[in-house]
Amino acid sequence: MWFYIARRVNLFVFTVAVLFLLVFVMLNALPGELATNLSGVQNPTIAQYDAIVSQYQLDKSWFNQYISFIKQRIHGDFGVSFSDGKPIFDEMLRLLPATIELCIYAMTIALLLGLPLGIIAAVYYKKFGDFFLLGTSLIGYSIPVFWLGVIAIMYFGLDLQWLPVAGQLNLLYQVEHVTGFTLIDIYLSDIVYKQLAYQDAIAHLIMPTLTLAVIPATVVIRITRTTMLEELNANYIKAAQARGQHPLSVIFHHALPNAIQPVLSQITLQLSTLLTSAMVTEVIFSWPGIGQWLIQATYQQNYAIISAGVLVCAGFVIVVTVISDILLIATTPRRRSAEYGSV
Amino acid sequence: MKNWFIFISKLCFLTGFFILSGCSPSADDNVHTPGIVYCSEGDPTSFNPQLTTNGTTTDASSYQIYNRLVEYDPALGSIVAALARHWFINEDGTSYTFYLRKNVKFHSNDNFTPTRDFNADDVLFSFNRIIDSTHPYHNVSGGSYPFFQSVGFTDIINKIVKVNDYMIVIHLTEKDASFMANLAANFAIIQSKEYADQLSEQQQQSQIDSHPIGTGPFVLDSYFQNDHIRYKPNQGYWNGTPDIEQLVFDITPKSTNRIAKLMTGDCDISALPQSSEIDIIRQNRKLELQIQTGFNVAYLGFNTERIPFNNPKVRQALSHAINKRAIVEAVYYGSATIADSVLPSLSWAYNDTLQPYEYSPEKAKKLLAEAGYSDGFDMTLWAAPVQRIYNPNAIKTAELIQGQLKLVGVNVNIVTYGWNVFIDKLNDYSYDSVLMGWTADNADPDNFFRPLFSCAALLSGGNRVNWCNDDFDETINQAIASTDEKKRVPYYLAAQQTLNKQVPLIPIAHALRFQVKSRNITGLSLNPYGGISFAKAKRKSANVSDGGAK
Repeated sequence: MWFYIARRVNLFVFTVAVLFLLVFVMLNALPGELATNLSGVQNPTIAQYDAIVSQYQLDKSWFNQYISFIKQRIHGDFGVSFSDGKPIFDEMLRLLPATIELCIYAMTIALLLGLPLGIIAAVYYKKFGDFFLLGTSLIGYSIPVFWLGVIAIMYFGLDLQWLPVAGQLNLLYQVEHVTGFTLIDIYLSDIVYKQLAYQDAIAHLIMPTLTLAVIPATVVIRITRTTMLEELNANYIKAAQARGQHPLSVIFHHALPNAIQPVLSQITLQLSTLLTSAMVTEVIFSWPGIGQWLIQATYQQNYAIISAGVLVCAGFVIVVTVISDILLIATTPRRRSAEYGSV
Repeated sequence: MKNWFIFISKLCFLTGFFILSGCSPSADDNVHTPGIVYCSEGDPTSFNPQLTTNGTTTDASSYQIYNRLVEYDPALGSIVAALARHWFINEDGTSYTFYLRKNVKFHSNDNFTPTRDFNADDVLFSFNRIIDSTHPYHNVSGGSYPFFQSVGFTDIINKIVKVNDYMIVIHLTEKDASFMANLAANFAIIQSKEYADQLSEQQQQSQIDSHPIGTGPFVLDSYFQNDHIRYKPNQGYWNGTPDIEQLVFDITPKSTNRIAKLMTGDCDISALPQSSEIDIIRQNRKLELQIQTGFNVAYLGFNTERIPFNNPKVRQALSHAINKRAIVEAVYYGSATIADSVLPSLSWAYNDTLQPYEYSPEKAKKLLAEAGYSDGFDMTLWAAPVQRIYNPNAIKTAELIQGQLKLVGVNVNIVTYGWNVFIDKLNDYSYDSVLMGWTADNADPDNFFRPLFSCAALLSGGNRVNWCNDDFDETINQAIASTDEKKRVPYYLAAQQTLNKQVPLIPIAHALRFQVKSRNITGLSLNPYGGISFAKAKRKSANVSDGGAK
């Protein structure tokens, strides 16, 4: 177990080092001064320039530069934005909750829909229900997020005018930005129209969350179906059925607990997909999260923000993968063999 | 078994119904807290319109936070009292006496609470900040006052004298008929001297433009860059407290997003819809489109110092060769009026006796032959790839003109640069012709003549046609020497006649100004010179709006 964790951590450190190296090379290769790209300070004064040079050791070899670059970033100094000179890290902390909120809701919906439907598909293996769900999930998986979002806006937003199409909350509700999670912020605020504000916030959430949930939901359906099928064909299930147990009891007490673990580990692998689609979804629905911010930064060629975004998003995916791996082996002793530890 | 199935499906249906009806507030007729949301197109650069000519900044500050000494009333077409109750101009038009309004309160914010009412010191502070380069606040926020520099404010004002707390006299160096119009422009706002003094003590001078204090109908509550601006009504505003609980500017740079927010009720009013979106807006019965002839002109200007454009015959020939109607239909989608003169027909100085050049390639060819160019010639046409108020798509306009001129044997090469480089390069006069335009800052017709055609404007860069005509200069200078509209009209008629004959430029179109609003918002007018005011805006109750929509 400890050997396995050590291997994982080792792998983590190296992956992160390579990630930093890639970003560092990118910042070197981009047009413009290296000092500006690293610190985000445009047209620095002489004093500022000297400070940047000593901070990032720009007068030393590239290796020193690389090491001090990692040091700055690990200490939360991501430089300042090209466009307004504000610290990037603060801005990121301000925007991240909105993205996390969207992802959490989407993931919850994906699980709530995907698990039962996957089970149903497995139970009705090769019957109409199975084909129908498989077909639907294939369609859902193949639809690009940007297209789905726009169609939803066209139909539910502009045609039927049921749901708002942009933002988190109607701006007339003056809700202070405390945690960044809309629903929690509404709870913490002292506005008069709380009930209406909740309704409005949920109405704003429906379309982006559903759009974002489609792909993970289809993935969950398909994985649940596969693993459930494996378990349902196992001998212990046949034994349970032979003992005359109720079919529901067989499914929920015997098959599901074993089938669900690979599903959860697969879901963490979906995280990078989820983040990517979250960025697209945010742009389509003007959701004030980190994705929209990053895409705007690419339009403005704001290299300081782009590099910070690459670091943080990639780093986030790596961290979550490692943690989920460790949690998985903590709960599944069979995976602790050296064979699983090496990648 | 069958009954069980029906029961379950009914249950599902009902739950679904309740969820849907509970979660879509726009279905039960926009229940919101009272207030108005305006979808604006971008971030303001500061909250002081003196510092800029940028429309986004003016919209966010000029009429919301501040007042002017006098205001332009678009409905009456004349200048009316604001912070000045009334005024008096001496006979030779060089001294203006203003009697100021009493009991006008400045806003307060976390940092500042006014201890006195608005008085003459505030007026002196606001104008001296602009004209006196040694003023302690002159260089706070950069020291550039583009509007005031373009109208020569510093040179025209000799001195400003405070007679008593509620009376000031402005002495001009010479007569200037457009002076009142300039004071009524969006940019000539009044700030608080008391606030400035307090900020000087605290060494935080720059806050005067970022945390504004004014006398206007709204107080700035909060501003989040790229997101929104929130205003609260100024309780006890001298001209009646606004009727809405709050005003929010939702910063939405994309035009399609603004329209979508309007349709779903997240916004009540929106600026600058694109010409191609007009039809969708017209079809929606919740929305109302407000239209106003803009005080602007898009034109094709010739470099009149270059061969063959130094020959007026050639310029007249090309006037016949250009089909303005086709341009207005294809580029503006009909959202513009055809221009016969640089001056829009809305202006009191418009000359309706002008003989417009009708579209006729034959006449054009004939005139070209008379000028000795029967075989045509090659020319460059400069156009910028940016959307401007007066021209939504200059490149497309240029391509149309290219096609039209080909019919009369003139080969056009289109030259294009990014906006900033474009403006820079124009100053070298290395073009044959250029697609440009002009948007007026105030109601005075002078704004269309001196900045565009005077010999002085050759230096300041406004005169894109490289045209300096002494007689014409004389005419437009005489036109501003009098403050009586009736006496000025003949000069402007003559000036337009000269332009029509000489054709230094071909006026193409006056773009219309659009504003979209939800039908249950009332009290909003569209100002032809830009600048939106929410002072009188209010939301009709839901019942009334139902009736109104039918």
